[in-house]
Amino acid sequence: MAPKLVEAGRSPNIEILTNARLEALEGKPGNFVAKVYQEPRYIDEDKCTACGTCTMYCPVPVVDLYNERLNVTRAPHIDYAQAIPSCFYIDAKACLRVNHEVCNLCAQTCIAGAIDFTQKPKHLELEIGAVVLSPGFGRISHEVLERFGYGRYPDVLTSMEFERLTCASGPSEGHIIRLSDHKPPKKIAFLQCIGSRDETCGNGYCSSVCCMYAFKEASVAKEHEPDLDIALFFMDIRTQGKGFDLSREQATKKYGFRVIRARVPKVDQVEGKLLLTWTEEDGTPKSEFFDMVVLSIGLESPEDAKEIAEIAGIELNKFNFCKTSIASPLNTTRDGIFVAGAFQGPKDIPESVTQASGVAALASEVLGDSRGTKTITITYPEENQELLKLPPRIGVFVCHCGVNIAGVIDVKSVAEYAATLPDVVLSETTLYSCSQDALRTIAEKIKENQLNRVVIAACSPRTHEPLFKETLRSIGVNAAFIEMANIRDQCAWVHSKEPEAATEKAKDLVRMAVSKARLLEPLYETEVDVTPRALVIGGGVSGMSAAISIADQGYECILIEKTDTLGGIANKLSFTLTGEDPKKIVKELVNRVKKHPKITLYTNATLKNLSGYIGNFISTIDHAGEEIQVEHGVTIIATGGRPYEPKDYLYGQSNRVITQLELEEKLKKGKSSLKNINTVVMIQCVGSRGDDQNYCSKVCCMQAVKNALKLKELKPSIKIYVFYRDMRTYGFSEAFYREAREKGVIFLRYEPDRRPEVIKSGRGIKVKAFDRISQMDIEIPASLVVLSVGISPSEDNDKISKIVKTPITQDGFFLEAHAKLRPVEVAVDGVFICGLSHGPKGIDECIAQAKAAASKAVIPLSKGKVSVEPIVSRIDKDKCIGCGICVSLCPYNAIQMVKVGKRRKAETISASCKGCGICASHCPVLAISMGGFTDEQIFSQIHAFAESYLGTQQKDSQEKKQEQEGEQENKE
Amino acid sequence: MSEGFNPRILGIFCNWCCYAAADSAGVSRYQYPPNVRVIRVMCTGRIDTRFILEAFRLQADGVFIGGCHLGECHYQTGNYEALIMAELTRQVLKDCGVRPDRMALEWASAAEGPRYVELITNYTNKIKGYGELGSLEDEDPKPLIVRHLTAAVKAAENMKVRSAFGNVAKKLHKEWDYSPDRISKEVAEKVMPAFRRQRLIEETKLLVKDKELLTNKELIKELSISDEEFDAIIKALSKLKGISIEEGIIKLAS
Repeated sequence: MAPKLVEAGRSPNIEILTNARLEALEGKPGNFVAKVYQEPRYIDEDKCTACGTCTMYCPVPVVDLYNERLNVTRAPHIDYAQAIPSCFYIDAKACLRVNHEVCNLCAQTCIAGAIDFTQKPKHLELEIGAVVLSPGFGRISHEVLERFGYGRYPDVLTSMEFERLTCASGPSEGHIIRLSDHKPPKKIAFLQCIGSRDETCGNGYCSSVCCMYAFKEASVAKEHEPDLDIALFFMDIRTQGKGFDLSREQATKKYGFRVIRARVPKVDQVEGKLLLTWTEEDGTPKSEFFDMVVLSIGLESPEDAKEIAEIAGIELNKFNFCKTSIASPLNTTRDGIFVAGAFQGPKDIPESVTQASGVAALASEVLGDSRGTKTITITYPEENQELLKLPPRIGVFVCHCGVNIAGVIDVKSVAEYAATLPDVVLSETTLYSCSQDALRTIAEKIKENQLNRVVIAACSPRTHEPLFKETLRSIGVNAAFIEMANIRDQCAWVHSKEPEAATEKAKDLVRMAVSKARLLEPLYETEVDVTPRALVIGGGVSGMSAAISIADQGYECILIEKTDTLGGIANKLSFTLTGEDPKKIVKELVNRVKKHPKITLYTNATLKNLSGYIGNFISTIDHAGEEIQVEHGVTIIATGGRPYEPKDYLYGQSNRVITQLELEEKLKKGKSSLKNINTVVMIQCVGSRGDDQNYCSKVCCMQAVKNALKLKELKPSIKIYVFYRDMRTYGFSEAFYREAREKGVIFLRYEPDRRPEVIKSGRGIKVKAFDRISQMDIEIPASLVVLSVGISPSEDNDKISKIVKTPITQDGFFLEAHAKLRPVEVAVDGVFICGLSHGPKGIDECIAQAKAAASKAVIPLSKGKVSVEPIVSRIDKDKCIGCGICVSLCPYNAIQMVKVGKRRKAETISASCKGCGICASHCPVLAISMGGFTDEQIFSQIHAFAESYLGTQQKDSQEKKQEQEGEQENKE
Repeated sequence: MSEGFNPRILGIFCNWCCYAAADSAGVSRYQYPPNVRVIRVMCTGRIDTRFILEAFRLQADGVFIGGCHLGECHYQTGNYEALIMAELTRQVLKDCGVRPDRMALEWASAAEGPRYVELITNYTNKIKGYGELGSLEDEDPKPLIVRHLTAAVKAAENMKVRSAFGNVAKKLHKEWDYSPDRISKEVAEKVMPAFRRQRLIEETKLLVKDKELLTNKELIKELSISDEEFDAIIKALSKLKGISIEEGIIKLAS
């Protein structure tokens, strides 16, 4: 989560209002007024340095809600270290000063003077164009948890509490302990579906994430305590996410989890042990003692869902989540108001992040006309070229950080020591170097002393270097001329009991930083122009949705479809579970694509070749035998998928064996199509989950339930049997699964080693299977056997993967750059994926993902330029021998071979380079140098490290030579 | 080892995971021994075997490399590449008379402050137990180690040696096989012979330069190598420019 936090926290165009709630929302898309009530933090965000002194001195203990009430904090606190804004806040309900005008200890101890009790609640009126609702999810009520002994027995925990216990920075520092006696448990049971799939508490839906997180938590627990015995109780194992089944199977095997198919009705405590009683599938009663029981709690709608709905003027569904449709999964019932994340329905992180990007596209569609009118862009003065000509003039600023550093380290002696180091012309201490006034002072000193290198000995460059770089740029100094010595997070704070050793270490760190600073070179952020056009490959629902979104956001889009018809696999669908008409969804998309002035459509077109990089791609397209070339700035892969072709179950041999899609086609004709059909047997996971393809196809369970309900609707007397492994009707589809059971559809589970068989029987067919309830083989004569076949990846994926040079998974789907953080991006910058090209999923998820890809794709298009981080690799072509090792190891295809004269030479594509440095450490002739992390700089740090005990004489001759040369150059 | 020995440990951490874990340990005020001095790089994939050898040449008692857990590299594959680099470094260290596990390669994610503390504390204690570089029974004496490593750092710059290493990295990357046994085997078979040879060549040059006019026998003893290996080194040396072998005595051209 940290990267997202940092990104949101740093963007000048994101204003974060904490402690705030929406009170009213008036107006229309493009022109809303939101009334917001904001409570004070009582700590000034600009001044707080997040040092934590206030928490230490506050006398009022408060329950630590972030740690699930398992810990105690104080009235002024921060939820967790990486929180944004990185500023503490005061719990107003607990604070003595706020409530009784006494105490004020925190204000007195805060050296930064950040505590501000004069802050008052604010009523804000915000003029906005679009609204995104992302309030997350609520908690399952105590009442439900109490049924399982929660609250009565201390060793019954919720999964959220267990998560905190396993967290290294949590209340028990990562030790899994029983809350009753603080001893480690030996046997743990996980109970699934607590508050999910449970009509009795009004939650007739599946929370979608608990099965997977239970396996995750169990795995983490086993990593901590290898001897733990862990049993997990499931009804169905719903790990349908991309790659989830594989991780689950690996974890189960590796850690030896006991997976038990039962719903445990209650938890008892007998002589300090927790007793679980359940019924096995075959009816045998079982019971067992455990030391700890973890309740895998579901995701409920937010507590204030109704209030939000009322204020925002949107509708909720029957479970109090936001009401959306398959065709518009991110739109609420009110125009201009969008929804993302768990409020739209329970979902995991990848889908939430995808939806979040998707709503950004929707908002951008609404705001397209006013794009750029309110954005903040920061401009900097020209760089002072005179400074570059001077030899290194280093300024060292050693930060007190209040008492955080100075309380342990003798900062004055560190500064005095720094003054003795070569090229240091100024060395001082500062109270809080990151505070606004200190930054101003530093800027003045830089000017006064003509400093061209700055070393800040303070906190971590990870958090603060951007701030100091900003300061340098604001006064015309190249941002690369900064080096930080981390004497707080990695010194004062962690050696607080050894002040002398910490001071010595601080001196070493400063010396290492100074030695690197001497060799710093200016680095320039280069910018590459972007061709403001997108190429979308694939004209199915995903490709069309992405193309329309890009065009609606105001950019040209070329859509290529390999067949002569738009619509892809969705053309084969006739119904949806919720009653929406898939044909209508496709038809509307096709119409919009065809009419949109910004979309150029090529059918019968395939991608032949793609060259270039983000912002500047050139593609060759085979359009009905004719080659055309197009230039585009971004690429979206939406190659779709295809139905798996069954190989067994007499498919193709008997006309009584058909697939779900074929059944759907049949059902379109109405009741007449069901003459003589009295018994239908459906078989799930045909070709999925290790049958032939290794993954879960996600949609087939829903499809079976959908068609079963349709059959029952057309002919109530029909008998339907569904053989399944796990019914994965996740989310709100669960309600339809229940409806099917209520209408008499019989669901029978099978294990993969005992699959049902379809056999010929006279002129008919029958299905032979092992019934797990009666523990006997049964035979069902069937008028029709319907195979729920999975989704296979498009046969083009392999080819396109090679053309675009981005990897596909073992299963043949495109591999995303990061499953959670970057679900629609791939290894190659400027290329995005959506829909079935990424993995099996339903129409609504495809559309949300298409919007997400469109959203990400429009970022470079709207900026018009791609800026390249300066820490990229540079290849010295004179030295390069053209071996190509760097090309094959680069994770981003950011190095290409070019011809220079007759020789092959490697060349960095700066726009694609991320600066990892793998190329540099593997170059046989040391021809590659990394901006900001050159060999010379790193060696100088190593030498400075050794100077503490060897003195200065140890430098090897090479470096001395370089220095002499450097000095000579400087003299010249 | 003697009480109060304070090992000198260099850390090279990747920006995204281990360095972040170390920061996070600070935020939580966990305490650990103050021996490590950290160099931040963007990725463990950036780390060149020369950096580690150079630190040991300069008599560091330990080098701790910290990166992201496998599969969690910010740059996808950097830490896998680091596995090969680390294995090479270990084999070179062993060849230079240094206990290979004076260098550690560990993973800690940004959220694993406590894990980092545990790792660095245990590691520091281990090195404390080992004592100064060169003081273990199976180690060469310090001056000898420094000489071996001076040559090894030079050897690590050699194009043939680096090509051999790069090609192993390329091959394992292509096959996506990073099992420890495989890495160890590939490094031992494909990189180490060239590395050792080059190191011995460099070391011979150093010896000749420092002491001048060493006899072959003396050289063989100094380098503690077999006659056959020495013959091969001499043969290689004789092809180099600026070196002449007269009457069995190696001379560097002035």
